[in-house]
Amino acid sequence: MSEPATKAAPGAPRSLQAVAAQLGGQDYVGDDEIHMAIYLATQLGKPLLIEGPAGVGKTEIAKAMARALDTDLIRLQCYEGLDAAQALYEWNYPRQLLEIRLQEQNNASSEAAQARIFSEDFLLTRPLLAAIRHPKPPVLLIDELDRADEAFESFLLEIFSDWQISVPELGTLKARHIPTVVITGNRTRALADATRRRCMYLWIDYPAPHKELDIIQRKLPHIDTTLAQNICDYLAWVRSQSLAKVPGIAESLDWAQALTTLGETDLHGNTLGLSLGLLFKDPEDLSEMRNRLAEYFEHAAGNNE
Amino acid sequence: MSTPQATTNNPQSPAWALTPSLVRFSQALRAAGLTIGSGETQDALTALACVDAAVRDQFRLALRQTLAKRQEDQAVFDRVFQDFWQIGASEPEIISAETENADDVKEAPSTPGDARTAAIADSGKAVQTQHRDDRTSGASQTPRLMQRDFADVSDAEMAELRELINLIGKRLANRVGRRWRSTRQGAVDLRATLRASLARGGELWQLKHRRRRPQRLNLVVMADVSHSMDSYSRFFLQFIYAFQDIFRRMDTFVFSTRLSRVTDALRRGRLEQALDALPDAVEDWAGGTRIAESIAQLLKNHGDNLLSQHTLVMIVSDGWDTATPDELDEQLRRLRQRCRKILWLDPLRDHPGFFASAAGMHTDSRWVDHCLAARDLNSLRALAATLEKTA
Repeated sequence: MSEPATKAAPGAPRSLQAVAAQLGGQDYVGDDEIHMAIYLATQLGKPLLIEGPAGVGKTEIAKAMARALDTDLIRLQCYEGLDAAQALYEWNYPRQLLEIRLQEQNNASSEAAQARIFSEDFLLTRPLLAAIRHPKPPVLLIDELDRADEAFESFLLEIFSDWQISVPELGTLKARHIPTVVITGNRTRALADATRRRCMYLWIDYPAPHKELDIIQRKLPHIDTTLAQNICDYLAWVRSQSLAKVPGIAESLDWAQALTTLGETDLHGNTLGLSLGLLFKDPEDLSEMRNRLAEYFEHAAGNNE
Repeated sequence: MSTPQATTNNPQSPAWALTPSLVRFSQALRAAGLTIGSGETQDALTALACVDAAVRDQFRLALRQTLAKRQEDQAVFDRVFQDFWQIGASEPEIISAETENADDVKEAPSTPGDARTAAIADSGKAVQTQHRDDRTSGASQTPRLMQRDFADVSDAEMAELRELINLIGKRLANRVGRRWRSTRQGAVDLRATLRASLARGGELWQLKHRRRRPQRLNLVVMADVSHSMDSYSRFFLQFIYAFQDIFRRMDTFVFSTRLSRVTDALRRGRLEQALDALPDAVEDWAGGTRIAESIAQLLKNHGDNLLSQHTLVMIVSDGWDTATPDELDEQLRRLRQRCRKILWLDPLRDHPGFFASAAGMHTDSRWVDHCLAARDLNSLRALAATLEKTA
């Protein structure tokens, strides 16, 4: 393999502490496990596979990583039916057609026309090609890989093994730098063993109340401390119930923001029942949790005694 | 992928000294059921060289993230780790990690589900011994009348069975896809047209067309493994297993009183291993049946991910539910709204020795698209024919 001598990307953090410091500087609240995963992924030059329930901040890790490494984030959102053309490159056909017409008027030779329309000017780069051609090693986020077909998954593995893309009209385009790859998944379908074997693995769960409190306070610096604390306690309780859609961090942030805007300083109040729609995005969950507010307050009071 | 030579080949590196222990640790993990190749072990070694291996937590995380690559595996890892690097205190004797422990670990994982596995292996032959006390009345008194059905299938029949399964699968699996292929009629394919025009100096001489290629459906199977289905359950799991190649994506659940997802277990190994592994994954093999509740669970926990208009749901059950008909009807209605078709295979339907009065009401349910007998080869042939007519 003609890969760079060292696997670690040039801007890679030098120690575990450096990762923690860089992420902290980005207002990303991580923990030892997350720091370790990011550090090792950059050191070993391996893709980092992150799995966990929806809304726990998997994608956010990649974003924070890009900011911490001071580089760009290139994102490939996967979906059912995603194929190579949409991930690699496409020729800009309408522009090529126009160019042909123009060249005709100038009486250019067809060889010249062909060379012109199959030059890089007419190439639409899609995320994978963009990552390979990027001047600085970017963070490449393959979001929700489990939504793509198995065929696409194997295709991706092929790209990851030699980091080059061949465009028949242009030749082989080699990576200038190996990107730092982050793959996320919701376990919609099981990823191939081959994929797992090539990756580092990180499982993230819903945050513990103290971590969530930290996140809320960082993102919403003006929030009332009691309110923030109560929000986190409530969410911890909610997540222990059986729900169709468990609220993630984004939901709790929205809710905290809403309650602050409404001028609440505690979870009591008439607005509470009405604002629950920000947390529960399933009609049955919503009505159930609305009816069970009293039960929660009793439970919370019991804990405080 | 190769590992950085600088770190792993350096005998001075503390990680280097760990190699023998790490290899044994990998073996212990393998014995506990994790898939670990030499690539993983190498990664782990490289990872150790990058961290402060003397700090227990760093040591543990570095190994865990390179060796345990599924959420389920992480729990196993933690257990084996605890046993293997047996240090109640905090720090560094890890370098001289004990060899003997490896053997202890090997024996540990095989015990828990064994008794049950053995019991199920027998249950195919001697069907209705009294299984449990918690059986609920309606779902329990299945007569032992199906001995000469799928419960024992010869090798020759198995071959025909496979053919039938293929045929049935293909009839079920087609739909219009997203990908295109070139055709003589259909939408104009600008890309191909342009490419063809190059041959004529850029003149648009001939239009190329394209059309969507039929694509396969996803299949969700819910197989009843309650003991009224005991003698059939194993057969149907084989049946289901064969479907894996035909459908684009397939997820398998088994249920009796609760619903359990066994997709991974089925995929992981060969058929027999997968079947033997099942009871471990499922708590209530051969308990009572709660179809309605199981459907509700499917909708709730997996509905968003698995069900769509491209999903065919196949329920394999005799329909002996302990729930009220209304409840089942309601769940079937909800399920039907969220998938393309519901197909119900019933091994007891039309069975000569079977009392019609005990039949599940699903037979007449308006939400089930096809309800078919699936008792022996003949009934499967009939199934294939039915599908041909209706597809």
